[in-house]
Amino acid sequence: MSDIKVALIGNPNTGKTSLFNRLTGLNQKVGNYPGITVDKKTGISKIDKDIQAEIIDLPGTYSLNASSMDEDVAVQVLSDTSNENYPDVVVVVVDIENLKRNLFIFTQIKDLGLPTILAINMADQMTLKGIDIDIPTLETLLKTKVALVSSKQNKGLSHLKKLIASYEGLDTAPCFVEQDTVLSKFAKDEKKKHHLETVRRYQFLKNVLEKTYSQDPQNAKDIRTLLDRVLIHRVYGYLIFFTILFTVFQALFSWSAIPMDLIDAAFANLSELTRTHLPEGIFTNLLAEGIIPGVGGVVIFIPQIAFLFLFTSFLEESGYMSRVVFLMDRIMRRFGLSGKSIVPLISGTACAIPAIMAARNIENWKERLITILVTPFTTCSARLPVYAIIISLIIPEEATLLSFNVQGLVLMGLYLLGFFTAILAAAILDQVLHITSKSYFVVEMPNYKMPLFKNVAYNVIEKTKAFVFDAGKIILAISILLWVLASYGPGDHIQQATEVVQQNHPSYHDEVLQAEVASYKLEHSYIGIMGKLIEPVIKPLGYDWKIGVAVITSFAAREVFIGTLATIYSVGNAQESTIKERMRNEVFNDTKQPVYSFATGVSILLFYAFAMQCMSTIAVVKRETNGWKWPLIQMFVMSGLAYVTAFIAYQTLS
Amino acid sequence: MVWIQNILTIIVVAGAIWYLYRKFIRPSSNKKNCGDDGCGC
Repeated sequence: MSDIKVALIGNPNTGKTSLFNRLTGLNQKVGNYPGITVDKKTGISKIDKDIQAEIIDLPGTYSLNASSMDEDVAVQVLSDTSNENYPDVVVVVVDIENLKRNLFIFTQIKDLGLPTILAINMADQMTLKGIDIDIPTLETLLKTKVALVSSKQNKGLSHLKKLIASYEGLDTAPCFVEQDTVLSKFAKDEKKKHHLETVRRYQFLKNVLEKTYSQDPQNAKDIRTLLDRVLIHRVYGYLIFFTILFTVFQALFSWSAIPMDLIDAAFANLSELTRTHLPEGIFTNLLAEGIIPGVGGVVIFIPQIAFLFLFTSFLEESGYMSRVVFLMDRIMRRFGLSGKSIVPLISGTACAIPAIMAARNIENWKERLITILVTPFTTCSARLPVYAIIISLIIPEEATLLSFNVQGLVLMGLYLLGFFTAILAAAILDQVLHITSKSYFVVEMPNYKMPLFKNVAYNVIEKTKAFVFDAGKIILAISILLWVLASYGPGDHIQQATEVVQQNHPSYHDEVLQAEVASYKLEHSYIGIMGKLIEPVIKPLGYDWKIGVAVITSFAAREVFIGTLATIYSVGNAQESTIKERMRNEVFNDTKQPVYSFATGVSILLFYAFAMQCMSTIAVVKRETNGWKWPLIQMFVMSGLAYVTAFIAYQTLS
Repeated sequence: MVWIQNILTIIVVAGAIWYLYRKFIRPSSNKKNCGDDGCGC
């Protein structure tokens, strides 16, 4: 019986060790992380009735560049004819799904002039993945013999053994012709030369595979490919995404309505309890009229924010979000945005700040600048509180359109408005800045999986906590200041408010008198005077001075808008009522018409859809663009657009 | 009781002013910028 020495080599995760086990019958542990076979392993395999082979399982390596210990072992065995393990034949194991990357080492081994067989493993995946390989052409181009094997299903091994047995007839010429061979490269190690050679080898493999390898998803039968066929389809993909978006926004309103009302009522009660149970004084007033309503203005949105993050975490965890990125890429390319802009734009739906920083991986400066400038248009979670409360004020809860909740439809419309404004602005900037070369973006599609409850829950809690505490601290501080500014004023107007009102309206009593006194005090407070100053500018948008003050304070962060209004409406108002009730009951002093009419509501929604109401974003844009030029341009353009659209909406609808 | 309420109010208002000043007007240089850890704005 004659003996053949066979070396098994290949990239990690190609199933090399499994094949070794199949051939030798030795039982070894097979892992799926790179570098499990760090030691040399050998085994005996009966190839034929007269031939047995000593199989040497070399460590899993990506190349023969001897840059690691594993690669060093492989190079030693394969290049040194005096080495006791120097093989008669080499079997290069590759994974059918990663041929291009796996074949790199094959081209290097062929350079060594050794008889080499190519074993394409995991061939059982061919039908499932819709893969087709032209074996005869592949054998000709790579100057080798190919065995399709499946170590998992124990298939193709007899063919591989036959090829090993007849190794003497194999072509030993290199398949990739290059002046410098892999061996000569070790002698003169030049980094640049290495790089060039690598590029040329991959180019060669690309040409080979173009002629021999094809994958048609239409023929695929595995679940992932079947799902992908539908989820990233040109038509169905968008329809499904739209349906998911639609469901999310419908649920966002209907599911969170009850907890939101409960929180709102709880804060109204707490305010009332503070007023009645604590001793009278300015600190009690500060708590009841400033701090509690202000904090309530952010806590009320926890259910909606949590539901939003629950849905996005679920979609991310399931692997669907990568498909959304793929779908959006198709749209955005038409508007001049590169694939790399998609991640910042999509993550902008949570917060523009990390999204703008995510644009750092865009190499082309102009593309990066466009992404930074348009990202704040996407609807961040800070806009949600403003949208939610205004929508609930101007659209009745029971309103339906084709049996769908109109509130949810409007919210979804606002999210889409933000997204499409961003890509439209990008298209305009693309024309203005003249980008000549676009960068490419590779997105890895992870496998679909059932989201882990633990991961989703952790994500929701962390993100909601960040929203509540980061925004909450600012809102709390601003509410305290607003309370001071709304409770005090110059001169003695505040002190003499009751006498003045009684003199002017002798018929007013009890509640009416109290309300009128509160209104008089507020108008003569510092905040009232400031509000009145800006009133001429915001009146054409349908806002009164109180909304004007909220617009200014929410320049710090959009969520402050509701907290500000909650504080302003609470000062001097002894009645127990929720934020929504107070806003609903608010009337213009002169006309006695409700402040939050449909026209004003739409005007506020459009203003917040476009305005750059976030100081932190401006600070980040300044840092990322290295100066004040771009953040100022961005702020003026966005605020201008917000003002004009809000103006047109109010003037048209009122 | 009035003076306790006055002092508490002054402390709270001063704290709020100090917080907003450090947050927006003069943020400490060694502090992380908002958003570095993915926080909201």
